[in-house]
Amino acid sequence: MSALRSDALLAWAMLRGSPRSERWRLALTGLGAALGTGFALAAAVVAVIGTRYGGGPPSYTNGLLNEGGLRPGVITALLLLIVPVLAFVGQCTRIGALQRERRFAALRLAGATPRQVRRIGALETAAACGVGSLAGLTGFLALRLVLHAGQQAGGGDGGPQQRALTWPTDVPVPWAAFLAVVLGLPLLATLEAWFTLRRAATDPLGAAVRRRRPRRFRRVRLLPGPLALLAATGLLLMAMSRKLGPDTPFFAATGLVLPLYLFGLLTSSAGMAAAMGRLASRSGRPALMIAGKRLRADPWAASRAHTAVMLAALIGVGYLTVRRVALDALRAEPEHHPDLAFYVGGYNLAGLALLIGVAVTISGLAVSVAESLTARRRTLAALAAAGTPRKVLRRAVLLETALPLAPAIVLSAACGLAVTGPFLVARAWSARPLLEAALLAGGLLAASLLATAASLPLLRYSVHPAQLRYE
Amino acid sequence: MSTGNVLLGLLAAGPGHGYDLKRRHDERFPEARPLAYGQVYTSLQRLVRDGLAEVDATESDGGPERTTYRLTERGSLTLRTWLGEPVPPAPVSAANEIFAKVTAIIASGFGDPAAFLRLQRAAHLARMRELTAVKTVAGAPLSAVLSADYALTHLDADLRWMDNAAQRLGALAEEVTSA
Amino acid sequence: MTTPLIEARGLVKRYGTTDALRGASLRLLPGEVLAVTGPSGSGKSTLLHCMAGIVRPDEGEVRYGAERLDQAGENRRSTLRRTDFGVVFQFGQLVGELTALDNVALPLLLAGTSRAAAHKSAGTWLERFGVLGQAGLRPGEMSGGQGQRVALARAMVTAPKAVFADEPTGALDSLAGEQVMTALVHAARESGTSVLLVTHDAQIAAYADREATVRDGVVETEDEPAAEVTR
Repeated sequence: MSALRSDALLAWAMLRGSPRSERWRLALTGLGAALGTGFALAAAVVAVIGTRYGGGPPSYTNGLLNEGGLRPGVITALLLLIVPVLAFVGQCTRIGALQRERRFAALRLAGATPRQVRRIGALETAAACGVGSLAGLTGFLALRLVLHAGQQAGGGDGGPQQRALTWPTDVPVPWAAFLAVVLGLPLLATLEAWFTLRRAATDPLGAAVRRRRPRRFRRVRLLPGPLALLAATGLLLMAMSRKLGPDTPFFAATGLVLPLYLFGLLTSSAGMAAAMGRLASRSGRPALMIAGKRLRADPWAASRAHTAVMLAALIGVGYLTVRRVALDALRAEPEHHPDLAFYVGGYNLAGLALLIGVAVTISGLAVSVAESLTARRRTLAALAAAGTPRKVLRRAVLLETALPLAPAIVLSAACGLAVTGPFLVARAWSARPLLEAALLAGGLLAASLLATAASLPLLRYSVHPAQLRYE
Repeated sequence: MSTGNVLLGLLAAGPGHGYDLKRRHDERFPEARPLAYGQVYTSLQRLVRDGLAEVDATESDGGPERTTYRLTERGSLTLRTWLGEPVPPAPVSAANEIFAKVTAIIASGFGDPAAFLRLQRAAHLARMRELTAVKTVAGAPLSAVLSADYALTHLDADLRWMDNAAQRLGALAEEVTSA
Repeated sequence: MTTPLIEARGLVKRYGTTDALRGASLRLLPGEVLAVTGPSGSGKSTLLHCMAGIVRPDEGEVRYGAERLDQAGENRRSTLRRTDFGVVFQFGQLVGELTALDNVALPLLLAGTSRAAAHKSAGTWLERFGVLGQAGLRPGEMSGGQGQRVALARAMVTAPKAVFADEPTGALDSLAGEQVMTALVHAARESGTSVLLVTHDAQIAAYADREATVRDGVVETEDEPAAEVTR
């Protein structure tokens, strides 16, 4: 225990002297923890609606909360929102990675065992996530109070119990679940840090001395991606050719095809980045060449940064198609579906969740571009010092995002369409889902480029000649 | 650098007799070879002859007679001129005995030039260790430190030259034997 | 003959396809300052890393008393660095986020010494090396010479048996280097600490009692130990 205490004191001493990048990393990590906590708390509240902890029979304006059979879906959606948050936090941990490695090496050189270094690193994460989690809890409770007050005020003379509420603020706070979330989330993050630090904490000579060789890009690694995509498409076509009733093929296919597509997309993103890099570096235009060389040198960086965006494209297109087809079908026979508004509300809520997820994803992309600009400042400064105009560098940074991301988004959107293909074909065919998918893909790409552009002001610091001085 | 010029510099600090000047010199330049009294005496005679110094006083309080000397106007001017001129950068390598020996070893075939260079390195380092000890002793006067530094830097230059030479012995041997 | 404090025999270390060491043997005697010189890339730093237990050789053995450092585990070698050995490198051995005082106290803190006691010893050593005035500064806020003297204080704070110094003056001008070397050698002699000093600079090597030269991964020459280590 005293060892833990002295490690904690050391971690605190280091935090006080840490550079700005480190504070950013911890602040953003905390923000991620706060967001994740918020989603988990919301899921907990929905989970207790209608149970004996839930304060009376549910009666809300939103049907999704009233129907006992639909609430698990809402809970799942809320919990799934934690996935982009995790991706975001993952991007944040890369901020200042070199600096951190150097610090750990120095600690090891002073006689810290690998275990001690890991413990110190994990403690930092624990502190940041703990504070973030508490902030998330405070924010959630505050929001709940505000919403509650608003609903009370709007309730008028009828009394709050008679009127259907928009937000389930009448549910008593499930403290046990809240406690579990607020303690559990930082605990999970700390365990995660403990495991990922396993490699970082071993070498006392650190990055400065160790000869670093960039991981070689092996062509064999290109194979599984396209193979999985092909297999998924094949399966899908097979399922569609056998007309086994309207629902069976769709569900059977998605159960297998969706994971295959996911796997295929994730494993082919690095290959795509490398391929685009090869194409671009052959061009004679400087910005393209710089972006291309960089993509070829480290296609993994691009794939890491773009994975979440690809997922967003896949799920987003899938969602849009399902929504369009389903709502069109309902609207075609209004007399059989008097509860159309209920379905629309449900789909809109899911859309909102998706939008939040996309926003978090795009923020993660902005963080990763900012991180890469600061991490590569020596290279960028050298390019600038050798006479590369800043305009070219700016363009190169934008291209570095756009080149691999554009085909990746198109491919992901195509996969999203394909997964929902059986559904589309089974119902009346129309071009609108295609148009919507194209719009979404375009929007995602535009948002990604905007996020990249938002990080560009950092380039001014990165290309300063002072960055070339020996560190 | 003539002893005469050095004496002019010492006299500039104030009049003194021969033994006085020798003591001043040996104190200020502890790492230099001590001045012989006879050398001081003849140099003073020459300075007086050339009108650069003159007798200040002759005294003998009981003991042997002592002559004190002081700087003349002309002596002061000569000193000024000498101090204003840069020291010619001497072509040290012309008298490089180490180089001569290495070449001779190759030409004669007597011994191994590399082994000789290692021996020389050990000797140089031993001397450098002594000088380092002199200058790092607690409370060493700055004059001792600076003259030790001067010697150390020169020995270091020799060592660097020897390192270069050791790496190029093969090519040197070819050149020497083919000539 | 004196029993060596640390003895390396037939060390081989490969990095990728290059051989940093190809059968290097060296003895570090108790209380001596031993200079290891040689051209850059000759393997002298790797030899130091192996003898300090920072790196494990691929072949050969490193004996520290009855212990085989080449076989010792990561934890044992880490512990040795905060009890028996100190290290001073050209740069990078100080934690940039910590103040000079915390940096010097670091090995003690890592060993579980109380904060007050660790800071007290650290202060004593900072004063000893003339950098107590910089106790509250971080490495980036000090001059190179001050930083290296803080590093020396850190290496000495545990009263180590041996200090491993790899080009400790490499990034300093000659006057600052002189101060650092004088401080190191005096402190080591006073406490009977052995110093393994890697340098390419003969003027720095002249602070040592003995010299060993390394070329192409082997120890080419090693001075005979003096009959007794002076002072």
